[in-house]
Amino acid sequence: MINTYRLSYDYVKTDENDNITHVNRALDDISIDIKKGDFIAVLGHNGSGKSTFAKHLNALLLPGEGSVFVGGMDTAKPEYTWDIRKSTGMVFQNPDNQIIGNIVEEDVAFGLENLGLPSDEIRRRVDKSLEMVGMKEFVRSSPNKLSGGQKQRVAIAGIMAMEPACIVFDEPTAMLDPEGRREVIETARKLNKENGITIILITHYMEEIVGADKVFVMEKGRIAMQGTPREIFSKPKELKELRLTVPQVTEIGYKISAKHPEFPSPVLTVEELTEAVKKTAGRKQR
Amino acid sequence: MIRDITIGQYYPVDSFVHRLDPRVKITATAAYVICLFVFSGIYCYALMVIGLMCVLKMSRVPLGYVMKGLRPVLFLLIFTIIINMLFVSGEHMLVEWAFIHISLEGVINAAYLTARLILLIIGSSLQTFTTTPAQLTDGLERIFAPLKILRLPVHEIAMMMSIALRFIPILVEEADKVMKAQQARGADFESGNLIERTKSLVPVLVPLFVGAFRRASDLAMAMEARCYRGQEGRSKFKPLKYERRDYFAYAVTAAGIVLLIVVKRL
Repeated sequence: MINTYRLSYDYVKTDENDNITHVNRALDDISIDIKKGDFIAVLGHNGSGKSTFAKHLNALLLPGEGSVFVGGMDTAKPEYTWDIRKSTGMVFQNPDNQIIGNIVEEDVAFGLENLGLPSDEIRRRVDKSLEMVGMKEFVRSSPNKLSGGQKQRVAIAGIMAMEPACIVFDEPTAMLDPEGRREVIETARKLNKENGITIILITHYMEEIVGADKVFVMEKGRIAMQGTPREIFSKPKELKELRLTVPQVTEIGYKISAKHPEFPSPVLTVEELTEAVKKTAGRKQR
Repeated sequence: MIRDITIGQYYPVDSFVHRLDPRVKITATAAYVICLFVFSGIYCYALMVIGLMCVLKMSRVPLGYVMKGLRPVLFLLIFTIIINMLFVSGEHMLVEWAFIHISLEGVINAAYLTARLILLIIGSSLQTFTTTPAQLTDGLERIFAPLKILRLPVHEIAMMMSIALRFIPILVEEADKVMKAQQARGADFESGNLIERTKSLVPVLVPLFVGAFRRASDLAMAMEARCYRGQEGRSKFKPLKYERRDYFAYAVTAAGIVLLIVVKRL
């Protein structure tokens, strides 16, 4: 679905005379392969290059070196730009700054209007995608009256309406409260499971990557670690060096296993933890 | 304070006026405003007041709500009245005391101007009360579409307007936040004379502008990501289409203008 080959990108600062004063390498030699239907998480602290990476996936930024292929289309070729943006939607961080319409349904329709669809087809798709994200009852509301999580779901609906194969979430939960974060992540998971949409979730919340098929950890524009969430969480020391910490549940698991070596670690969810505690405690009693 | 301004806010009820095509309402409002300036005389004004009241009644927007829209311009109204009464000279003096000279002509003039201003504001805000911003920009876009021949970026201007309307409440909220943040650090927006108070707003405006530019850049990116590329190849979710009631409304507007001309000639 998405391939990058030795992708690099520099942010270049220039002074008034166009002389280069500062070059900041945001992406450095990234080669990854994302398959259709995958749930991918990209993790990294601020300035690790993860947002820059996200913007390469639908041709908002073009590679400095190397190349990006989306569904076999080279993002550097201008003739593919619109097809790529149609097949790869993007949800941004700030919920307010990505809603264009003054009413929910108008905003969801925005992308479809850009595709030049007839009005009854737009109506059908708007209703369908609002239904998908559970925002049907707000179809005539003003976006200003919605909560952060609801706004993000409207933004997701706007992208789902365009029937993309893949959605990139660029830190969609960074400005939300816990309730909104849960809503958005659950919606993303649901779209992945039920509609087979490829999801790429850029985040710095460790809890959100637990359900992912594969995780990439970025640092200084490079991929520092990759693997399943379990593999990533089994290396807490390396994570700490990358200024990331494992989720609370996993941390507790580690504390227990430090005293009881037979305790299975890492644990990723609360359910896993309780299960493991029951097992270990049961064995102890016998 | 800024939130209280009702001019330009949509009033969400369902009525005959609300359902009219925005192009009709824009045309009728424009015609009304022109009439206000072209026609004078007590009968013409009476006619225009009655006409406006009928439309207001049909729109089901409460009168009190409309009147609230006058509050921000109250100062302007009073100012107009005073200036006109004091400085319009005439033959029939009503009051002559010290430097105050009020003539009958001045009073009449003031009354006309006030009536004109009030009708102007009510008439044009009735338009925005009954038309959603999206309909309004759609209507304007269609009305001014012929200007594209003159290479005027009609679609872009309409898009800018609708985005501006979308971001007004967000920017108001942000201004509120910035002011509170600065008040928390000891900024004073309330005391001092007008100049001092205006000056104290500069530190509010700077972050507000920076924030607005950041938002604009984010929004542009979000629009591009959703395949926006200008008007080319773009369709409409709710295309504007004239219904029978729209033709009827056009007819009524035209009849009103004819009636005004007749009354004026009498």
